[in-house]
Amino acid sequence: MSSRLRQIAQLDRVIHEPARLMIAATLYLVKEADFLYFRHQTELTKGNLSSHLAKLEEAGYVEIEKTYRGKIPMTVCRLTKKGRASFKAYEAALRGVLFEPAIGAFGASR
Amino acid sequence: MYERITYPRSGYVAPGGTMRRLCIWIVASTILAVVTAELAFRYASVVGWDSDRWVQWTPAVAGLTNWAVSVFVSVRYGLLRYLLVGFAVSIECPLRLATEIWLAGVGCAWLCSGGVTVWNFVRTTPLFADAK
Repeated sequence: MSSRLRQIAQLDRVIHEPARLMIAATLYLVKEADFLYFRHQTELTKGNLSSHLAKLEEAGYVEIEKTYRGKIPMTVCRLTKKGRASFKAYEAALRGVLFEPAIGAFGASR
Repeated sequence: MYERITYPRSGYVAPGGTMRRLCIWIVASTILAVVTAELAFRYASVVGWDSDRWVQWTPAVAGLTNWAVSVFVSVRYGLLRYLLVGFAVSIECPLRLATEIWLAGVGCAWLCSGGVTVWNFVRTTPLFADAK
């Protein structure tokens, strides 16, 4: 297996899933956001979004805080230090795989 | 007021460090520009420059700045009416003559434009079911 293909295989699967990637990419740019904001941005269903957030929380990438705004319950999410580092690493890895010169990287197939 | 309009529709989001840094940079550079201009006007005569002529240029510079900001906003956010607003506010920036009227007009133009933006947002972004 070429080093480039190995890099693809080693991508962080927790972040790599499209829905979780959307969540992580959004949280990487902001300080914190609530469940409603994610529903609006990602257009995922409640259950789907909830399960993806739970997976990110389980991996220690996202911190979830349940609170109230007036009488309305609010779920605020923020990226942890580990999550931020992992997203940065994922971005660098993906960049390396996709944009670095490809000469010889996929082996001499032609 | 802001939260009453935005929260039930778009949800809550707190801007990150990049946004805060950008705001700090904008405020700091504005203060620096104002202080530099003030000092330049005050002490221009010391080095032999005629500050009265600089003052004559100020309306033109202010008008161009307004125009540039409006063009940026209209291109960046796709708000074409800013081209019109920018043109209107940059026509004249009088320092002595009818400054109050001009400032009131500019204020009204920005308020109307902001009002249209808020109205469009409220009209096109429905309440989420779990926010009702």
